[in-house]
Amino acid sequence: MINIFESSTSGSNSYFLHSMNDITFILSLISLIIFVYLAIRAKSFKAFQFQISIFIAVYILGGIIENNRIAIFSTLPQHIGSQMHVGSAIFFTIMIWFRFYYAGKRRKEMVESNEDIDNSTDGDSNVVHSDK
Amino acid sequence: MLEAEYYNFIKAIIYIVAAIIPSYFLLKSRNTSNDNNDYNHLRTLTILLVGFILLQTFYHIVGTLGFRLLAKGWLEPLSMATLLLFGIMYLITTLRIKDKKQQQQQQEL
Repeated sequence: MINIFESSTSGSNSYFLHSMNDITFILSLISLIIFVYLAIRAKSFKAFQFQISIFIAVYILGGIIENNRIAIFSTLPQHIGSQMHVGSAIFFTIMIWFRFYYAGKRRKEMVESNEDIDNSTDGDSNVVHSDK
Repeated sequence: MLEAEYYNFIKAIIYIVAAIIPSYFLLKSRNTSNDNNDYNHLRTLTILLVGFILLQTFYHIVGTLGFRLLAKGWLEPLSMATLLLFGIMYLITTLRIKDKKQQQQQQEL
């Protein structure tokens, strides 16, 4: 029986890990296909779908290198796969924070250009309108 | 700390920073009652995105602690399954919006 809290990865544990790595690879590949399809439909590099596709693609590539799946990549430095994972995580975080920043800016512009809301003198009421 | 665990620690911190924004929106929208179907879809999508980020964070924390089997064997596939679910929901929402727009255009004609 497999003890999930075990830190050694030899014997049956190694086989289990390889199987789960394959499942992870398949799941992430299906996700990539879905988001690439959505990105093609969106027809924009700025679209969330395109950006998340890049994140998943780099994540998968990092996973392939980390697990030494392809012989060509075995010549690369040992931790390049982990470094690619760090890179994809940083990209994902920057993407989410930028989207938040620009969403806030756009919303502000939208409220300021709305004549109906401009009639209101109360600043807080504008915030309420923008949240709706 | 080994180099692999060091990288796991860095990744955990980065994913925690990423989780702040969608979690904030989720907490903000918690008190808002809305019967709008699009709004509920958006909320479900945000929950799935937060779930993916938090599972990634947990996976890297467990990896840092040295439980490789739990991290790589269970938590990573689980986080990827959440991302896949997020993709499927996103696809369904996009197709629904397209159908709605087509119906509106047909009604206008």
